[in-house]
Amino acid sequence: MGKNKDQLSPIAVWALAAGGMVGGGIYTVLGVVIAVAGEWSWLSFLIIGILAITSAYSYVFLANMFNENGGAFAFLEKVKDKNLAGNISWLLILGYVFTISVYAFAFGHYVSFAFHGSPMTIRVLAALIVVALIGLNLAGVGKLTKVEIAIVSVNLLALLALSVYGLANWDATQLTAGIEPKPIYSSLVGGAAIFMAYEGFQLLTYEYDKIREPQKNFMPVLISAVVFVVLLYIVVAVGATMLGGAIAMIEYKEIALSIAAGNALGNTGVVLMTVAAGFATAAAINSTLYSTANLSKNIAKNKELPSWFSKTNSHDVPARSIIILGGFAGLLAVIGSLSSLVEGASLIFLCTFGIVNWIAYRESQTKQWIPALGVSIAIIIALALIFRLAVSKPVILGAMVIVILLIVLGRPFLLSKTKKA
Amino acid sequence: MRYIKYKNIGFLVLGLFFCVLGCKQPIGDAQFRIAQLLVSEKPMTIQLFKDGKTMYTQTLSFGALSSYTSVPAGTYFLRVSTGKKVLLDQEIGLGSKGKYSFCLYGLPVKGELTNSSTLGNTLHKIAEGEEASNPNGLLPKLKILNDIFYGDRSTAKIRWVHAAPGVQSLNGYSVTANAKDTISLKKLEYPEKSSFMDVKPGKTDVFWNLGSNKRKVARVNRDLQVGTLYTFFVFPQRGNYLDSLQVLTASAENLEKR
Repeated sequence: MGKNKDQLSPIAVWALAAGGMVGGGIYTVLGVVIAVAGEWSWLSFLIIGILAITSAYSYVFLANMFNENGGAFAFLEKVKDKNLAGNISWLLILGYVFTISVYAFAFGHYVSFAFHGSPMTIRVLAALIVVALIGLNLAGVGKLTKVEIAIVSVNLLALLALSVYGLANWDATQLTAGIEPKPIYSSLVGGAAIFMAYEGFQLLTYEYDKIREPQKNFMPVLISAVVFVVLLYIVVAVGATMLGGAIAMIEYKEIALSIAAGNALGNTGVVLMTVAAGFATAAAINSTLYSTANLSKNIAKNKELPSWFSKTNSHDVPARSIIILGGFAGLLAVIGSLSSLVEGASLIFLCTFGIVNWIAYRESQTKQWIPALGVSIAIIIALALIFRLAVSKPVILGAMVIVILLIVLGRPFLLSKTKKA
Repeated sequence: MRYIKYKNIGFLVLGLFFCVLGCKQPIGDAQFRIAQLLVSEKPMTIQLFKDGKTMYTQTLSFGALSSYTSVPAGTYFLRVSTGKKVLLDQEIGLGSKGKYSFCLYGLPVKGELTNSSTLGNTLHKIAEGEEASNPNGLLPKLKILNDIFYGDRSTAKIRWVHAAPGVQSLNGYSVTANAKDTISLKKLEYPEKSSFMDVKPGKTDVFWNLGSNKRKVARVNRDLQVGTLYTFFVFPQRGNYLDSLQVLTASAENLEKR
């Protein structure tokens, strides 16, 4: 691949990968993990961070090996597991829809909090941001790489500043403020609930052909971005809790970082965090919507989704996919609850990452221990999440099982019907 | 050249580390109060221990609310006992500048062991941590409420706790004096707590209905002040535990730093 100014430089890839993860993840998951793991929340981020690192390795290994865009779906197609590829692709799309709804949910809460909005304001804002970004994508300006990089940079700096300020105000009593100290094993369950906070890096595998010298650059760049985010999440988990206190982080889990920033810098802190969270979540919605719609188009072209999804508008944008997926995500953001959406997305990405690690294990001749470690952690974390869902939200777990069964059993039927039509 | 760059980053990280250590803050006090809603004719003794020393002792009868007490922030061991019988032994964390209400609730039964927990309660605690809200077979439990709140300063805040063991779901409502604003305060099961809700200050009637029934089963009238949090504990009447409810109101001034 020759040098081309439209190609993504290593710095751009790094920023997009880090931003894809941090964009919406940490703003919404901190309170959820503290509620379960308390003072061990940082360990939760580390454990699932190791899975994210092994998964990043496996994704790049497979992308380099097959030299192709497309992530898990493309990898499964390449290893001739067409049926699993189809099932995973549908599940992945559902996972992205959950993710977009979590980001919209976070956008609504953070912005509304700054203006003392009512619960209705939160829902309206969540719906509006999705509608606005659907419009932007339909107009053909969905991928704004330079804008995204600028937002990511400011966002990362804001989070780093907040964490360093929190660590500088070290007060270990805040880690268990108002809660019962937790056993160390709670970090497994806590991590399981929030795995989606790390999913964003794999959107870059859909842009593989746009990366400059991917065989040389992609592995070190992506791994370093994931390692950086793991460390960032760990310091944010500790630093923000130092400022807000554990009980407030849980009680205000939807806006935990605004509470921490408000305690640090008063109203100025809240305004800064609202701006950072607002732009970060909006950018995350935009990039996820763009990538998901294009993924749907590619899957439809491979006849694993009805061809209806591959239709593009005059801007060469898969308009129907964008409207359907964005609309569904907006609806979930309006009617859903944070924990359910986060956990639904986490379960889907745990399955996907586990499968990608498994393929990498099968296909690699060297360093097999890396994907093997990923598979092992994915299984343990997925079991922990299933346990959590079975105990706390059996209805949600039941719904997830039904959806999976519908996909596995109903997909071939639906595809055969649409082919005949 | 590259070596020098890495070296500089190393120094930066080390500098940051020592800066963080050097900025360590002195640990302040935490305040707490106790709502004793464990259904019992006998008074309950609540003790806090730290490093083997008794830091606090208070005996409260059913339905009593203590005033706030300050203790140094840190991890404490809380014990609830009646006579020589220990009902609850629990570790709790109290953060610097924190302000908390401890709510003791449930139905102590004869011969029960300390910290009696049903399997469901144990599983919920592991799976959901602080967000677990399991009735624990109506056995004694402790709920820690955060009395520091955030948000709109021009309103009063209210929240409520369903602390009536054995009573089905309750619907809470608040109505301002001019009866123009009726706010639903959420339907709760025992032993859930609602989140904070903004309400207009002024004379307000707060009442609860049983499930879908429109008959009011508990009621309280308060003159709500701006910037104050009102926590309503709905719990049984003494001697008539299942048929009649009462309300304990605990107010807290706004302590938020914003």
